[in-house]
Amino acid sequence: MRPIRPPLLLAAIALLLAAGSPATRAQQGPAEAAVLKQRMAERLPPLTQWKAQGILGENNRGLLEFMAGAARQPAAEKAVAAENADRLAVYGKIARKNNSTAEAVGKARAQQIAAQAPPGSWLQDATGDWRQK
Amino acid sequence: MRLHPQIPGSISADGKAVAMKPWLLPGLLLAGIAAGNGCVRVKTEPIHITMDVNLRIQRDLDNFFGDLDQAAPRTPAPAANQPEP
Repeated sequence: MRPIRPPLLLAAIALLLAAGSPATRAQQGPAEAAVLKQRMAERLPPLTQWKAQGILGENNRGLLEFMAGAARQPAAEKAVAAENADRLAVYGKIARKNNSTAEAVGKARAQQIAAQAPPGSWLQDATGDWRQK
Repeated sequence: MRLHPQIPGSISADGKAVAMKPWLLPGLLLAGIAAGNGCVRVKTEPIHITMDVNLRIQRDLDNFFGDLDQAAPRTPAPAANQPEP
């Protein structure tokens, strides 16, 4: 086997360390957040429409839920799954940053959503009951 | 009074009074102060930390969702009698 040159080995180790360094992660963070935000912004019009139609509600964990008896269009199902996955990713990132849990961040977000939701929106309160604002 | 040969204030087996070691009283006082200070910290710090974390979470949520929340249309939903899930 051909021996590895020490400078090459050192460079490889330095590269690996730099890839996992907090500075690199900090650079990746804003870019990842921008991608998540862009996707959420694109989903916003249809999700808002479905919420206004009473098809979707906001639960007490900061996630979207289909209301019982509502028509579940495939497009809506796909959008809700993608939106909830992205929301959980954001909650997880904020939780890690603040040494908290994604559940706690989701609950805090649910309170924000409830406060900002327009009248007529379906919201789940802290006890689990659904009410129309 | 005959407690224990090593306990200050008691009388040893040979009938002599046991004197308190000179470092014992300041040592006990320091230990008491340290223990008291520790209790105060345990009661107050977690409250401050919890409040601080909640505020930071609120701020981070505002930073991320602020633009999206402002972009969301604020038209009221129709007052339909939607059954609860």
